[in-house]
Amino acid sequence: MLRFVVGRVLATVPVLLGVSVVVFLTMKLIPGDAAQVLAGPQATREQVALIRESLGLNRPLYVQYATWLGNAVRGNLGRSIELEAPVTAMVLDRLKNTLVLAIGSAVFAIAIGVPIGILSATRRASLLDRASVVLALFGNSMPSFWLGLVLILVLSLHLRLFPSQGMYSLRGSAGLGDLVWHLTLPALTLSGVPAAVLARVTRSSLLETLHDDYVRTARAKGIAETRVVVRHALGNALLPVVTLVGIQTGYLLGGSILVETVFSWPGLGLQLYDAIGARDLPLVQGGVLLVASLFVCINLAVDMLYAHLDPRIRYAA
Amino acid sequence: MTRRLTRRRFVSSVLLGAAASIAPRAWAAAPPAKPRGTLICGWEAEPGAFDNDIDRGAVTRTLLHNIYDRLVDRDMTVPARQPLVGNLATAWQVSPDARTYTFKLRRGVKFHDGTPFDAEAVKFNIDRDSDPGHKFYTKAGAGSLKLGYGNLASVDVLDQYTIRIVHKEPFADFLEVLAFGTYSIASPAAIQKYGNDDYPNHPVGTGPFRYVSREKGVKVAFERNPDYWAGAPALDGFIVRPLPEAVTRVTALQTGEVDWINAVNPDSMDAVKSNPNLVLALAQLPNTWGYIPNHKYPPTTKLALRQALSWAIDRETLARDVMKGLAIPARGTHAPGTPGYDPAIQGYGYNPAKAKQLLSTAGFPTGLPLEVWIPAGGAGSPFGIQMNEFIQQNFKDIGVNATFQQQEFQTFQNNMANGIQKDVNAIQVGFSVDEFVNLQRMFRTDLQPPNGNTNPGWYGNPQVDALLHRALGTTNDAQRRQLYFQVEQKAVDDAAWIFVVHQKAARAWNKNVRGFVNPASYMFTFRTVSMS
Repeated sequence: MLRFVVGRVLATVPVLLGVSVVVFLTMKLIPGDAAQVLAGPQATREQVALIRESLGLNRPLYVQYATWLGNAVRGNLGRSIELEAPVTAMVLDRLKNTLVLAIGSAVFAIAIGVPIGILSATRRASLLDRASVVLALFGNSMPSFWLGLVLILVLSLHLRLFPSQGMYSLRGSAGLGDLVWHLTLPALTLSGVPAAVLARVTRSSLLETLHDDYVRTARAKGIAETRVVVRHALGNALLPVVTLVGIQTGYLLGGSILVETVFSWPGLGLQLYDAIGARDLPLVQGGVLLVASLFVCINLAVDMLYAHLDPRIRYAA
Repeated sequence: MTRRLTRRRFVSSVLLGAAASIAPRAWAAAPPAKPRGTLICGWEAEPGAFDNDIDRGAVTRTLLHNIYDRLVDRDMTVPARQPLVGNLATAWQVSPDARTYTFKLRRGVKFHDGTPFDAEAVKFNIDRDSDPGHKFYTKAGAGSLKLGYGNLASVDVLDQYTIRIVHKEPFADFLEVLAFGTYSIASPAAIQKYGNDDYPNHPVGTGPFRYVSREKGVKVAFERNPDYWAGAPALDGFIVRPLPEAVTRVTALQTGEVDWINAVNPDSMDAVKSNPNLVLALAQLPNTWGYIPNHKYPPTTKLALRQALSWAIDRETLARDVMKGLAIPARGTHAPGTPGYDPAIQGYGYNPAKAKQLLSTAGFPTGLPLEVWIPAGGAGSPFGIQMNEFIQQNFKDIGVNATFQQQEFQTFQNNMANGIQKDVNAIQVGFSVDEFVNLQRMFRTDLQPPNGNTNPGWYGNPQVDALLHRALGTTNDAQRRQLYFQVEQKAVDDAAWIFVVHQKAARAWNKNVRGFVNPASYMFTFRTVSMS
């Protein structure tokens, strides 16, 4: 097990290094730079050159990368050009809010996806099963920003049930209840895709398990069907679901840009959106690096969890 | 006849304006002193840091007007043609050669940190953005303020409340430049305390509102400055809430989560208008949207062709139907309501027959193809694509087959810095044209690339150059205005640009928000606002 863990951890190093190169170069390859943005469209070349020099953007690319990576390894992701603050503190601060949103979405996804999956597996080929297939297809294919806008228009504007934006009320108290109230719509929106995926995987995994010998044995012993499903089949059927929840959480972290923007949820996604608009390179680089690194780490954790739950994985690796 | 009368009335108003700048007007009367609640504003983007001297775009710059004062200012409590008024300067003298400016400063003003405002504070601010030897010199600030402070001979404190600024060359537009938001005066003590890097997170000015706190992505809070020299604002304070998604922004206003929003999206305007609890107001922006033709390489070097293109555009329909009323046809460089607007300039109407005739005169009786570059990502307007498509059809109607090539915005900017090249006939731009000094940057031959990127079309006319040069040395405001109006007229006659429309912004607020002045500007102030 230790060898497997060390091997997997070491394998993430080149991945992370690759991520850093891609993150750094992608932002450099985009035409224009922060100096041009700061100087404005009507600035002279001299103005832009002065600002570029003040930001260190006039140095050779490899020097800029080496400096950036050296600092990043030490936890210093530079300073935001647009907001004049340390990037590391800024992205970590916003990561908390994204995690709140991701956890809220995961709760919704599990609460919606798993029961639907179980119901459609146990009532295979029924109307309910077909409806769940359609629902899952819908959840998987509709754009999250569209769902978000529809929820805002219906539940916020017309029914006035939930706030349309933000994490806390700017007027009045900002307690846990207020947070949950604000979290509902964005979390529900973001849970669309993972709920659909969970429903499908739960269904197929449970269907497979329900055909296993030990389930047949349980049934033959005269155990009630509900008990067979809940006590005997579900535990094993949920093994791939656990893995999937982990991976989907990774997607939730990185995939929340649109949802955070629609709901003005002050997380990493909205921060990235603003930073890209402002061509705030250090902030974009820092944010993308953090999301990418988290994704790699979550994958690593999922691998380990899976290896722990199913020892055959270790031998295969 | 009508035109003569209009013009005479106009000239007299110009003269009155000139007298006002010699004996600066006071600001509009102070609002009632009783504080009335906190205004929550939905902003279209997260504002940048609050450096007093860096232009981070209109979403941030308008906030500088609420935190800081400048020596002189455009009075944003006046809806249109905002007069140039004394702000931290109460009076000034300009030498006949337009090089030396001596300002008398307002006494008894304190920065929000309690330190006194005086001539040393002004000198500190100017030196910080112009003198590389200054302890708190900032290259970014110097780059940003190069237009105003880039050619200084000296900055001298004559006494505690008098400062003299000397330019190496005549610079009669200096006062207008000083009224721009980034010429805000910051507290030297605060800059010394926090240093250049951290100061923008602790902005300290003398303005009507004090910065309180910021949660990035969530809110920026400001409170009233009870000691404001022109009278404390009526509000307790205001909160800026970034709401980048247009539909969410309007919904938040409709549900009462915010009280005031900027940049109402065109599709939501009807919903806001029909809501009895909301007010929707359009503001004429100092914006000019159009095309810069290539004056260096044929065929757009031919005047008749440029004029033909100008006559071919149906601006009325474009503004009314395509832009849903969020624009008016442009006759020249400056929009109505901006200080540089000359109502006497008639510009080009919509006359396809005349356009075809001019096309023949230019030697293209059967028409011609044109290559036009446009910036991607809005093209300087939320309607950019539709506008270009509409005009493409207008051109086609007279036989001009225009190909529009989209370029990524920053690539486009970089190309503009190099000037329009041989294979391109025109580029499309949406420029902020507020003060006369813009004309210097748009039309001077010596500012063609590579000396600048604001005349990328290589426009050059010795007569215009002479007028612009004379304007820089003319301290009499009325005379200078007339010189600039002549420049505008010449630019229109030359079809230096193909002027299309001046855009508007839509702002909206709850009916319980009172006293907001919606100026013809990207800037505005909450100093006059109260809540019922």
